[in-house]
Amino acid sequence: MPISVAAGVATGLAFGILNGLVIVKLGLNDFIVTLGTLNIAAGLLVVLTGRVQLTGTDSAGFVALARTPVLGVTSGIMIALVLVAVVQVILSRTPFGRRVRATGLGVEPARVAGIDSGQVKLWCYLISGSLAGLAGVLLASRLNSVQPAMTSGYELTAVAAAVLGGVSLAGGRGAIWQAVVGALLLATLRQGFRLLGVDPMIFAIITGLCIIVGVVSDRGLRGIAARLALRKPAAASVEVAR
Amino acid sequence: MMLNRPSRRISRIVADPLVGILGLVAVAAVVMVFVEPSFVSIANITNVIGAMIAIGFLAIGMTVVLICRGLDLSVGAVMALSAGVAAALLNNGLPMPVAFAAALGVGTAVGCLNGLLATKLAVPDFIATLAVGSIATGILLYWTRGVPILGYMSPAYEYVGGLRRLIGPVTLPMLLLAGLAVITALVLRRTTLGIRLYAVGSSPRVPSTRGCASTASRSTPTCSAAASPQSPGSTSQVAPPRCHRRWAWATRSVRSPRR
Repeated sequence: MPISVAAGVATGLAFGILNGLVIVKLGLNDFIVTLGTLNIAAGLLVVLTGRVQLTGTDSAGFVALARTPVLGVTSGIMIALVLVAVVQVILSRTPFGRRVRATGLGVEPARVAGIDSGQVKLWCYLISGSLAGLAGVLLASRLNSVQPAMTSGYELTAVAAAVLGGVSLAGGRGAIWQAVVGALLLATLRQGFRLLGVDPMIFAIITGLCIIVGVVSDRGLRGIAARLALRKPAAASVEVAR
Repeated sequence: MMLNRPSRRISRIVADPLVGILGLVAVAAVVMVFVEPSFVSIANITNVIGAMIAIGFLAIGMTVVLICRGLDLSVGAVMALSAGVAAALLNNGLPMPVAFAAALGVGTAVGCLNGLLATKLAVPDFIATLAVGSIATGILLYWTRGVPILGYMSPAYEYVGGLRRLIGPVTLPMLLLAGLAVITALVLRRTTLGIRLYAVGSSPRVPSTRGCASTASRSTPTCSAAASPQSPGSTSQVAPPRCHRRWAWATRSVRSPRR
């Protein structure tokens, strides 16, 4: 059981290293390279499973991995919470985190500051790949079944979750908790509609509308807040002038 | 490192992005010919081109969006929704031009929605088009209840879809794709709109200071992307020299559009 879990995470890690090496060493575009490895990984799964659903593992430990109750929540949630804390600390409290943000703000200034952006990117892809591997292991444990195309579209949903939370697509801005809030929003919407008994066919429409309304209203609120913040010093200076 | 003339010329040819991708196509084709000699038959080449047509339409639209530093993730969903609209209208006995106009209208409307969201409401392109794509998929799913729309085929539609050939191996979609490619290329290279697109893409902020409404220029191509129902491209942070040259050319033209 530990070996299988380690192998699952290691697969993700290997793909992360592959992504990072190809992107950094060959200087190729991130989007294209990861799109390519996406297809390779999806194809490998089809070959491995022979288009048959893998289900019903007899290992109780594997099924318990994500489902054991710990302190009132499941172990899957516990693992996620620990990871959130660890990665948040790495990003915000370590030199590596600062290097990541510097690379995101601009490769050229980062280079001037003595940061090897290539190495930083390689580590980022490594982290992303191994977390994807862990996520796959946890999902397999929770569902107790694996089939081809079970997670198609997750890559876009993951980006959407991070961006919804306020992580910048242009790089350099963002925190782990923001990505978590974004993911929580998407999951809340889905589960909420399910509990409300909304026609599952409309899920996609309402989710899309909620995302747009959420981003726009968030921006609008921030704009109002910024205007209020600007007005106060202006009013104060008028009083001083009087 | 000094290079003598011929090798410098070769390196310049190899450095052209077009050479690499054409070479890749050529290598793939040659390998296929060795594996299966019938690959070069007219019938197979027609099949290859037929398979590329839908992607070709999407890629042309996506190129326009990418040039002005956008991204449209909704094209697949919009393509499906437009196809559904056309098929349903045909099934209800409407004439084909009306059905096609309605399908194109749906694509253009969704593209305008994308463009307005990305520019007027400043929603990031990625989020806006992902959400709109999700809405489009949802509408199609809710409307059809997941049941395929069938029975709209007519001989005339078979010409439009490329199932029947016009002259020799040439089908109507091939001509449409070629025409669209030429028109889009001309618009990009020879019109003020095209120049503005390159300018906006090279630097979203600078053109607006040059008196070119970057919002207006950005919302247009997203419409055409959806109307011509994906090909990714690179928007590298440091533009290669070719782009710089084009940028210089673009800004000069923006500064003095007409004498």
